[in-house]
Amino acid sequence: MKLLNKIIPLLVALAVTYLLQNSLGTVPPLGKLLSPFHGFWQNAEAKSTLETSEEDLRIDGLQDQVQVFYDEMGIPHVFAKNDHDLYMAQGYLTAKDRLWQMEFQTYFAGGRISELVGDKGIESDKFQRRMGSVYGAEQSLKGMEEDPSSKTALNAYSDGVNAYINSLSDRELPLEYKLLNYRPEAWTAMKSALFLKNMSFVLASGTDDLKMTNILRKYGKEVAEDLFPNYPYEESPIIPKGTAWDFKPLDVANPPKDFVGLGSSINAPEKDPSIGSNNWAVSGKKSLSGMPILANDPHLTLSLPSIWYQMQLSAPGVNVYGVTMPGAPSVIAGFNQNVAWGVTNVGSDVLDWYQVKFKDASKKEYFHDGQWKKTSIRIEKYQVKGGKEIVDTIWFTHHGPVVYLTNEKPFKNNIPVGHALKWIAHEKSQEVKLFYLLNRAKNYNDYVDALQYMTAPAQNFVFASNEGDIALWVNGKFPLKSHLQGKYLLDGTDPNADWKGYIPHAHNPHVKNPPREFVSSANQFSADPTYPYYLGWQYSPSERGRRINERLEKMEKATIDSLRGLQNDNMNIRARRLMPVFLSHLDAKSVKNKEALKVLTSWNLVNNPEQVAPTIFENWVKTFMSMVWDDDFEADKNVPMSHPTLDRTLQLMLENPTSKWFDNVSTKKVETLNEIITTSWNAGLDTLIKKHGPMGENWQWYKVKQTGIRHLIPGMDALSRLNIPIGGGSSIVNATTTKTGPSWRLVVELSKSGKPKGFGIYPGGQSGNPASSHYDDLVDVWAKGELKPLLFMQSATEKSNRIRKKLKLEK
Amino acid sequence: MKSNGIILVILIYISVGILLSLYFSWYAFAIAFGILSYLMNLQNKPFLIGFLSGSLMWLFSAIWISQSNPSSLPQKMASVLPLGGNTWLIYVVTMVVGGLVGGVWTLAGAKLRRK
Repeated sequence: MKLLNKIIPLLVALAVTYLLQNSLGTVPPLGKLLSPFHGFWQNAEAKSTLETSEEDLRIDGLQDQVQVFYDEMGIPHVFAKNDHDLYMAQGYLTAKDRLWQMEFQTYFAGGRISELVGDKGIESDKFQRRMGSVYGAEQSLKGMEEDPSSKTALNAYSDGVNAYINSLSDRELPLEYKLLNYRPEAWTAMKSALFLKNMSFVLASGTDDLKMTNILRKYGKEVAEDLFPNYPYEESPIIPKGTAWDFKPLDVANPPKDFVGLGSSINAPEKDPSIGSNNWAVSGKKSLSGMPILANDPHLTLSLPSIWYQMQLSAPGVNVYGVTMPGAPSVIAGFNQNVAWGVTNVGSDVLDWYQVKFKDASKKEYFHDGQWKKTSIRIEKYQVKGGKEIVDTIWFTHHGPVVYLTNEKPFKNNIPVGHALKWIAHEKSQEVKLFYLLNRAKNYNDYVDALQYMTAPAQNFVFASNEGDIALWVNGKFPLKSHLQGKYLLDGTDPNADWKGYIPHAHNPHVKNPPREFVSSANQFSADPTYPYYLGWQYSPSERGRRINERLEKMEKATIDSLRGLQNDNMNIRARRLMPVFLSHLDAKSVKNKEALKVLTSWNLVNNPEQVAPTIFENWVKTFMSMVWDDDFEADKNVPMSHPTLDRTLQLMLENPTSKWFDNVSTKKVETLNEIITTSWNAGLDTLIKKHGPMGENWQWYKVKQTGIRHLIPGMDALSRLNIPIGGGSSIVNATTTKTGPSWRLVVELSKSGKPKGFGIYPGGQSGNPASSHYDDLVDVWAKGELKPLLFMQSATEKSNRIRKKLKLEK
Repeated sequence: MKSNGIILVILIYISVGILLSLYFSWYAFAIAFGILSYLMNLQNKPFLIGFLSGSLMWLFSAIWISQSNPSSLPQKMASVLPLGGNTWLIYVVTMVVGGLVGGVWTLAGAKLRRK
């Protein structure tokens, strides 16, 4: 008894310590986390003062000294004496501000989230890997390591990240490691490859071949092609109409045989990100200064820590400023002394599905080109948190991985079962080389030379140089396909359904110094139907592109500020086009809530944050579209289908107002367009009132839209910025929606003397530490539509009163 | 032991605790409390003394860090943990956890020694 009395308190002490040392479910390890000497308190970071501080650090592996100057926004300006040191410093400095984010994103990309969160991450992990994220990254890495400059950059970058990781004690770990209770592992070139590969997931993994095949099966080809046309009713393509093609196109013979696939019946939630981007450049003839000005704003899912990390990178042969991606060497979009460039996504179809015919349940052979061919397999292992290992086999045909077998349930409802995936993201690639060369480009020829190294995700690269050139290349590797090949699910046994090689880079749509004196892109169609190759049948809606082009056509004496104004344009040209049509069909007598109608009809058609009319309009359109199409395309949740676009619906209203599609097939009565418009008005308002109370302040556009910038850990509201007062919306140039928006805005005017004037902003801040004042200090500036002047130093000896911290990295 | 004595013991514990916390893992201070109680044969209210030492040590350290590096972090953490965004509660919770660990080890040390 006595002994027990002695021992029990000790056991209790050990148990208490053990419980506070480890996370229990989602509860973080409270002892470790709350300890002022080790836990979150250690991450506190005082606001930087106005005085300049200096620091010297020794980093093993550097070949020479690197000088770093941090400006008042916390942006590092790096001056190295060689490429190796430049990229090593980039890795080190990026990790210093963003380590957790870099690592977390590659865990996600590599399908390893379950190692951090346990079972609830496993389906997402399997989806990533079965889509070929790791396989694709391995291919990319092979390609990148063949090039010496890319290899140097990747390895030096890794060494820099690791130098930082190795310098970290437990107490210095970024906050999120303490919350999730793990430690960073070594960085590798493979992680950079995974990160870059993930951009294809974000930007080039859209697919509705399955939904289109489901439509084909229900309505037949004529209806499918009629309601889902291959070029919009209203469009202003990226390459201006009438641009002559300066190449002789290849023949694309042997189209695939007609094929109606099985489709599939599944039920899983799907995200529908409205991701897009804008970029343009005006020539000196349109600008006040006589020099070209370039603008870019890539739209992505907004998140914290910020997607981008600003940097200036300088070494012999390069001095470049712009945004980098935490995880990859070089500047991704920005400018140097002579040229500027920016990117928007190309929505071409680079992902196709092939219905697989396995010989038997062993799946060892599949039928293709009249014979049985061997499948190959790839084993993926998942080390789930808690010690469990899951082993998963993926079957490959020559097309690619069979992402889900017919008896499996896909992670997303647009992914067919029993189909092999052919995707550009599985190809060997050279993106590191592309950015290495672009960072050093001096003129148009250098830019075009760099662009040939891009595989995926394809981007519209806008360009301007201080020689006065402006240009835009729709750039990436595009499969050579027959017309509409891959709009629907393809027959995996038909050899003619295979990709027929790639479009030669010189044949990619491009334009240089067009007569209209500007180039632009906003994710719309790359070119009009005279372009000789098939790239895809649907792109982003045309409104942003049309609005940008109509304003740039009229613009004279453009300045940085006028282009900044265009980036923040909130004109709703969708409303401008639709309102007269809607109102002409509205039955005024049956309208409920005449007050709201008055607000709408007196609207200036601008989606300003505090206005109520945009809320009424957007809600009306949404209700209308769902009333027109849900009965036809939403009837069976297990057979997901695409819906016709607003563009096609507008055409139908104008050209065929008595179309049978306006009838609701689930009622006995035959509805007319007038009735649908009037009913959707009334029903839309009922929904608004139900959700937000009677019309008033609660209906203000920004309050309903609720733009938020969320921390990468789902549900971490305390580390997010929510309910941001900002206007715009989907299909508005200022494309700020609930979760997506301009992730970086740049306007830069080139200069003959090599001193370009850059202005930029992104919704976040340089630091990934939620305790830092630089975590989100740029959000409010961004929301107001303002830009910050960017400090572009000519040399390490340049004096600037904006420098707050000098850091010397010594070998 | 008089209250002066208790204060002295607490001061010793806190000093040793801080020193160890700077170099060793977060619970090192508590184990040290246990060892000290064993060596000092601390039989008068060991849990209370350990609790007060641990909680005051953690509370004052947290306050000191927040004073020298003022940031929004304590407030943010009061929302990350379900404390309704009440900053003062994050100090209270820190204090209680520091006190609990200090208390149980001090008690364990004392009980081991007790005849």
